[in-house]
Amino acid sequence: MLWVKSGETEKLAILFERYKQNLFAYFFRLTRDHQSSEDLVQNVFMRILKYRQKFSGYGSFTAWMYQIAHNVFVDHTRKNNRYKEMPEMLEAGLEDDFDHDAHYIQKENLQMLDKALNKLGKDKREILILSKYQGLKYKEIGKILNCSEGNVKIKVFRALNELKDIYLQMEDINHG
Amino acid sequence: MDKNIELLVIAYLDSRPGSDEQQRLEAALIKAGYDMQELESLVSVNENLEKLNVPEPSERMDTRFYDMLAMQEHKSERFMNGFMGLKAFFDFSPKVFAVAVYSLVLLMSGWFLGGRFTPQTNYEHRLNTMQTEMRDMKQLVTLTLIQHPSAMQRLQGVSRVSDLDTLGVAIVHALLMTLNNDTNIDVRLMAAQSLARFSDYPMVREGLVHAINVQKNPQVLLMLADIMVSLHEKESIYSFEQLLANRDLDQNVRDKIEKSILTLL
Repeated sequence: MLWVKSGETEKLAILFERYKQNLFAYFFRLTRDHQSSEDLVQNVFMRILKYRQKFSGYGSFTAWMYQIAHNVFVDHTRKNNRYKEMPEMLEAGLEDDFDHDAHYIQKENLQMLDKALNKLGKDKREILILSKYQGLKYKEIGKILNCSEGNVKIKVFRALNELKDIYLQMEDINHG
Repeated sequence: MDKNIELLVIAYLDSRPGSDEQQRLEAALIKAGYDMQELESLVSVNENLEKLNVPEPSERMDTRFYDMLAMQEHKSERFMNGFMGLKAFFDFSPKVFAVAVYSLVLLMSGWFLGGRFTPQTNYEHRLNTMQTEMRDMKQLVTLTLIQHPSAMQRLQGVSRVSDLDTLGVAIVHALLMTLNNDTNIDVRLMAAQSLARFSDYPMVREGLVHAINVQKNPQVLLMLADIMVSLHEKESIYSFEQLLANRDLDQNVRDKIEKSILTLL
């Protein structure tokens, strides 16, 4: 990133190749929309280029990048006013990996968990995505969401607990 | 719920399963009266959460990014071209032009004299540094692609190897790992092809010979046989003979290897 900051903008390609998949996954889990997620990844890199001089080089680049990603997502939801929930879209992504009959129950459980995740509030879902999928430390998440490390841990617990409750309720309805 | 219990649960979920730390945390949670069935459900949700998949982004995302980057580069070039505008200004102001030329002559003389007393000019040094950095960057991008979770991207990375002038040890290792372990046959075939282009590297030749006894796929074995013949690699004969000892070997591969051994002898 320091190369990009010093004007060697072509080196942004290295960062893009390294982080594009994770960033796409972050946005996809939040929006459930393939095209919007790709647009948002593009926005993140445009902002990295625009604000490259603001990267101090002292903290982690990943945390700085997710701070930008978080802001891009906040702007996106503001623009779209109401957040669309499209749980069925992720199911297509799950299909290919679980063709085998022995995995049927696991597949069903994962699909239900995915639906449960989609029923969580946006903030709770985001904190789970940041902590479980993006490899960020609680301290780094705290910087992104503007709260303390301890507070992040408590928020992660509460989000996970709520997710578990929603999941168990759905399981009861399905099997009961 | 007590915040301390919430923190204990998170520490439990983050700890290594079966570790002393986890057992200590479990004991603390039991002591605090936390429902163990609840904990079990949380562990299950937490574990399954990590298994949820997302689809791959499309090629369009890459295209748009690289277009944006090219546009940015173009903007930088335009900025540099702005200096050329000064020339037009001098064309209309001969006096200023004369002063500028005089200054430039002084500057060039200084640069030239300085260069005579310096073993290697700054310019050469900077050029070398830039070339090295560009080479490193190309290698890094290629390496990132080779190790990408998407087979499409790995294929792209492996095919990019042919654009490199030299191969670093990390790339050679990554290519050999890909050749021997990649789940996608096309990626493995492309890795073999790319490695063959750098057969003057002893490490690559050894790796290709070693791969003969690692490979199980007939297509890859056929390609390795062709590569060994084109490289006149006699060291491969022993590996091929070992392979022929395998009764389950595909008949087409067997025929090809027998022919290859005869050519190499």
